[in-house]
Amino acid sequence: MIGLVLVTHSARLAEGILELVNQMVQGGTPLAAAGGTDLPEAPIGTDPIKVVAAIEQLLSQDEVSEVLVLMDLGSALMSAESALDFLPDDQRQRVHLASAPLVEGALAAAVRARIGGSLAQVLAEANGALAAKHEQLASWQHSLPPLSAETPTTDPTAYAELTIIVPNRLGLHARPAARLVSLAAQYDAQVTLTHNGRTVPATSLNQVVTLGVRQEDLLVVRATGTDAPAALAALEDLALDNFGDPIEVTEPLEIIAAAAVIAGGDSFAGVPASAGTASGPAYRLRLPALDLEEQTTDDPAAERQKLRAAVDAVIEQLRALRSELGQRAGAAEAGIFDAQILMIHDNDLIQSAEETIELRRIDAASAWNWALRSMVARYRALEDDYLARRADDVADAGQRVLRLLAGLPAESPLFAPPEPAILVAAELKPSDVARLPADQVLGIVTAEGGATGHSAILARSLGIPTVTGIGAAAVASIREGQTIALDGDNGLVWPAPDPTLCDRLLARRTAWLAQRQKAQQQALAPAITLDRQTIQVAANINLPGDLAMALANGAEGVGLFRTEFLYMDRESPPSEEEQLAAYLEAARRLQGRPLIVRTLDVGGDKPLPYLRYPHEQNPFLGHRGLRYCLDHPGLFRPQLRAILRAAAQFPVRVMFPMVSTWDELVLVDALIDEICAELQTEQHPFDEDIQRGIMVETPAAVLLAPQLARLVDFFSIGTNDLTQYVMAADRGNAAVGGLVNAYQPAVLHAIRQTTQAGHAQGIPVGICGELAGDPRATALLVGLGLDELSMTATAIPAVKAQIRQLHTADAARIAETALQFSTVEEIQVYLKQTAPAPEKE
Amino acid sequence: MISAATVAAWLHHAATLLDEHKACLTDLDAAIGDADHGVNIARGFNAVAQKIAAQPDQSLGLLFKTAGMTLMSAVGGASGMLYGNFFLKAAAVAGDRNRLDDADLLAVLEAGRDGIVQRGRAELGDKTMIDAWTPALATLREALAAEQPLTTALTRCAATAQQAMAATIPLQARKGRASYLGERSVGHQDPGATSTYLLLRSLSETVTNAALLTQEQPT
Repeated sequence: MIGLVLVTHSARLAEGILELVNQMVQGGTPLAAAGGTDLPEAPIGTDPIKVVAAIEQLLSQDEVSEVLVLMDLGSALMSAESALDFLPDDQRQRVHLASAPLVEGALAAAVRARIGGSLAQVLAEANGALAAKHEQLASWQHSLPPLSAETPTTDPTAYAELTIIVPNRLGLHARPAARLVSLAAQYDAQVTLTHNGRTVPATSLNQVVTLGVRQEDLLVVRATGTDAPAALAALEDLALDNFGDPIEVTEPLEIIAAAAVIAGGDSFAGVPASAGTASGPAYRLRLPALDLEEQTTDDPAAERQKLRAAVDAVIEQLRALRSELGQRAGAAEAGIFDAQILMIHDNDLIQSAEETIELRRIDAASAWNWALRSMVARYRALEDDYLARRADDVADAGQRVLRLLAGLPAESPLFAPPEPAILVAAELKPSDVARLPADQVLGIVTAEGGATGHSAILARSLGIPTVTGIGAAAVASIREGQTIALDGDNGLVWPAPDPTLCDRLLARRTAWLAQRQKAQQQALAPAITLDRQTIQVAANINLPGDLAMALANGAEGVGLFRTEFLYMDRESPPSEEEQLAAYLEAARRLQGRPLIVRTLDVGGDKPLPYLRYPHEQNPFLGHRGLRYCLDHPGLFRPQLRAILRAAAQFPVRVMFPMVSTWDELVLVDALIDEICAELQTEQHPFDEDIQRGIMVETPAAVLLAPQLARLVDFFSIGTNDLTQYVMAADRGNAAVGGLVNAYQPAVLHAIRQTTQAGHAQGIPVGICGELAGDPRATALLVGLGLDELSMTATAIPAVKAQIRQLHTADAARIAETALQFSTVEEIQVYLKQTAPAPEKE
Repeated sequence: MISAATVAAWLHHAATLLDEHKACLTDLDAAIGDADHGVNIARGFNAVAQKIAAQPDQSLGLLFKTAGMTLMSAVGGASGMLYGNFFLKAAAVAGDRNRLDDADLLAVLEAGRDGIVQRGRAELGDKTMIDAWTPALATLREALAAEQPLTTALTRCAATAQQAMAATIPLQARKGRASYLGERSVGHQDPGATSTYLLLRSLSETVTNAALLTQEQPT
């Protein structure tokens, strides 16, 4: 016969049930109870020793073959399970634990046991004990008050239910989960997902992903509410559609990453973007970690509002990134931002942060940090490797919110590996490359990009071996810290290089470094003509960050710092201090080489969003450059102050754009005098004798050059604008664009006049237009007597090589002859004939 | 290396510390449970302390078994079953040893933690004592692997437990009485994770004290 053991928290409850059951079976079923504890001060509870005793008491009776244990809840379950642990094996095999309802189950089981049911029959009876009650009371259901939408019903019959076998190769990873969550949210229904006994709301991406659902797993979808049937139907359709994932192995990033498809046996093929080889650990760019100090608050409502606003703002950022990437790389690649949007626009996460604000009365950033960290930890704890890596996506999106709340700019990620490493990235902006710590980067591998992008060019000039375009899938398959190898000459990346390969690459790297050092020495060496004349070769830069590349290419200074870039992509002009910092940074990096700072050159043709310009009929001939700045001292003065202050410490020079009259320079001098007096009073160091120069870019300046040279310390010819003004042609107008050619004889004459005027007054004359960087013009420019050529960084090595093959007397003759011609065609043909033979490497 | 005497001292110290924090634990439990954790757990560990004082010089296996059985009967609630199973599993690993080297201690604690998981079936993030045990023991394992002295390793272990305890605040309970509260369990610190922290803190303090005493005594 089957005996019954009842485990409850209350001794009196146990007694009561025994009384009730015995009344039914009249002592015909062996029963024992383990109710309450033996502790007088805490009688409510359970004790596994009492459970063991009850089981042993029944098993010791000859008529009892097996024992069924019924229990109430909580520790009763644990006590029953612990009791089984304490029993010897032979006894334990005769005991079964039932999840049936205690009172109804005990009655039903006892009755069945009394008439000689087997363990299975008794158990079935106990488990079905609520059926009669359900049936009896079903007619009352309609008169119950309807459940509000807020409280999900616990009655299983009120659910519509759907079981899905997940077809996706990678399970419910971020993208299919995101599609499911978005779809579920569209219906007026409470939808939950149950997986391995865990139930989560289908509207929380974080909870859905952290279920860790894998391919072939069973997922139970339940819905209540008005739209429940429609919601389930839609979700079933989505599931049948493989949750929107391609069925074939074509998912670019994820499926291939999981299967790591490798080209050519053991390497990924990409684009050889920068020569050289490397092997070492792979690391990615990381957002710099934030050090937050927890603040208490008296106004939690305001903190909550701040949090909501920050989350909304970040969602906007992510949407913008998505549409930008979507245009460049296609919707599939951009989908990750959709997932990130859902990850942080997650009720679970936001509410948890909000409640932390309320309960602990702390600031929004700290509360969000708490909530975010626990969410990231939940992702990391997932067994599935792929899903666990999504922790980075949550952390990344969450960090954006954190930075916003902390009032920090959305900073770009940094490369800070624990040891010199290979940088692995989806794509790199030139600014990312410029900021790389040179001693920490062994090489670069990117998913996107070719050989001609700015980043590749920059990597080449910095001498970092680089392979681009190995594809997002390959990049995603590389783990942080994994040793990889790359060959920048042939565009190959080995995700798991063997030691022999590494040795071979190392040998090549050594040879390459030696060769590179030689090439670099050449670029870095001064440009001296055959007759020992030194020509200054400088770089044009937009931001201090451009200097890494300029110096690597052998720049001997900066001939043109276009400060407009400091004023762009922001909502107000940079402050004096910000500008000072930028000028000092550039000057410091130049290590004593000269820096020519051109003051703000804006106008109707180059507008800044926060400056107001009247509409101009002809902005090129309008209120721009120095003209505009002189009329807007509020804008101009901070810049001049910053430049004058920087000049106190470094060889910084100032240069004014778009000068056309003597008066303009007089006004500038007066303004500088005024500012110097101010700085004197404020006790800021400054250089009142700062070298001042002008861009010669208007015909007026050319014609007036002999007079203007008396007011300034140098000239720099801006051939781009000068050509347009001299030729009276707009390069943007296709009909006359052909006229805009710096080799036009009129332009060359203008250059000669300017140079002669400058030299007559004893001041140096440079050139900073595109013509300066054209090696075909080098002989001509040297022959015209220019003292400095300033150009885009990458042009420097070739121009220096040209200079080294020149004799200044030859160059002067070439220039003299060229100026005899009447047409641009004749001049260009002539220069081609006289060009020195290209340098042999 | 720690001796059976140090383990006994740990259990005494744990009893004292839990008793001191009885009210705090009960308050935490009142917010999301049945307001008995502090009283129950303090009673349980006091019973343990009395039992082992009455039976000195036992092997570690017997010591832990006494603690486990006592907790199961003297606590009454689920925490007694969970901590009880912790010590029973620890006892199985400790066996008839009288001292534990660092690796043994880690093995004992991890077996005990597995016992809690086995009985409570909680996962990380369910807002239970497991949310404190698992990260804390991971720290201990790392610290020992890095060949840090046991006292340092245990101090870091307790510190991690403390952080992890606080990190249960934003979690929603999915196990135990608190899970009935659903979302309303968010924002409260889990009492079980708190008593776990106190248990690990008492271990760290006891071992540190023992180490200081050893240093003071010329050997």
